[in-house]
Amino acid sequence: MPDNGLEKYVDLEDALNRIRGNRKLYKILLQSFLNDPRIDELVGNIERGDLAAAAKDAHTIKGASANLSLTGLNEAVTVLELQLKAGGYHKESLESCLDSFGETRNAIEELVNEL
Amino acid sequence: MSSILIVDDVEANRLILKDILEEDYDIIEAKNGEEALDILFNVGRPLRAVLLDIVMPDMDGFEVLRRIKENPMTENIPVLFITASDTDMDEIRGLSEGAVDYITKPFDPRSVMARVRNHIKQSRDRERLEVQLERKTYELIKTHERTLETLASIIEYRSLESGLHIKRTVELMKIMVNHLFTDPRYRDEMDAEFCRYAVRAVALHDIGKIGIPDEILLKPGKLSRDEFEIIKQHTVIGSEIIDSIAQGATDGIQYLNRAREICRSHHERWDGTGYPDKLKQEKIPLAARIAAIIDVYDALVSVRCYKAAYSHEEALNIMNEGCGTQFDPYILAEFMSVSDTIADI
Repeated sequence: MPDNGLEKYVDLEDALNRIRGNRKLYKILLQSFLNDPRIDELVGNIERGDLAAAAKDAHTIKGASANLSLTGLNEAVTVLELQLKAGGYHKESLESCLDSFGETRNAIEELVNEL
Repeated sequence: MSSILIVDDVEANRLILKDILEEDYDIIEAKNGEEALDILFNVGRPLRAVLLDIVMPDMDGFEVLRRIKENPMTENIPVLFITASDTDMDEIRGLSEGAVDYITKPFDPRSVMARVRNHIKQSRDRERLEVQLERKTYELIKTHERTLETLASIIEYRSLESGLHIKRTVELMKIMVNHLFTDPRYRDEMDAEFCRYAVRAVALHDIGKIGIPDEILLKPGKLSRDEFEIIKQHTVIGSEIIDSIAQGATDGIQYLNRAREICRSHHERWDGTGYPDKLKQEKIPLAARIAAIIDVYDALVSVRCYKAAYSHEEALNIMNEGCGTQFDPYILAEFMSVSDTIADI
């Protein structure tokens, strides 16, 4: 397991616990997650001013990241979802999400090589 | 193997569920509400459960649930919400609107599996009970029918009339309901159930005769006024027999409703001078108005202990004299119009 602080983005132990130690499945799930364009949709919706649609995207990412034990991203997107549902958002929260997503992607790519 | 439908727009979510469930179930996936409904309403083999996300593009989970519940084909399939929603209101709403379970993400697939199993078992048990109930109800109705028909054949035997009288009245009723069924005048009252049961029920129209003493029933000569009053009671007796067999359960059992109407009112007259209740015109139940015409016709063309038989034409002439007084004029006219078919019986 990588010892460079990326565990806070991918909690391998928690995930394997959920899927009965099936590393191969986890690899598939992570790759599937990366293929999902939801984060781009979220940004697009915010740029268009459609905060309701963006909230739905945030909600979806929240669920998926929870299921896959991507804790760092989950925390960030949970905060953003609440803001969007209330009709607004803080730039810092959006940036925090995007950063988390980037770090998550790195963590996944590193992990996938090892699994 | 039973099939389960998983509905979620995120592939990873579907995969986690599929991984654990495909051990025991055949898994079908949908990535949005429209796909899900398409599968539900069109799939060949029955789906045993639906695992449904709430937040999805276009149609949300609540809308999908609503559509599942309003279709009789699918309304009893257990639906489990699996969602990242974490507000109490959504859970309450989900369960109130008919979902059997509400599971939040992240979930433990083993827990989901256990719940799915439980809900499927419950749903299966309920289906089994429903089938049993239907069967029992059917048996009950059949028992009623058999009892009444046995009584009817006993009457025939005792009256020394040929058992053909019952058969002929049934055939005549068949012809009449088939003919009147398409008539817009009776469209509201005469549905397929009415017709089916009126035909069967007419076999019982004289069941009340079992309560009439033989000396009067089989008397070859003219009846005294008192004797006639006694014979008239066979209408009331017949209706009471039906009631006692049904034991207050006649509301839903159409066969018994028709039987009671026919037994009690087949001697009522259109002008209100009939018996036992002196009902007038359309107050006389429709089935009884038809039965009255059939009964008189068959009596006229048959040999009875008190008279010889008339010919078909003679019988029709005699009946025409009762148009508007004894008989419902409209139904009598219809009877005349199919008289060729009737003559062949």
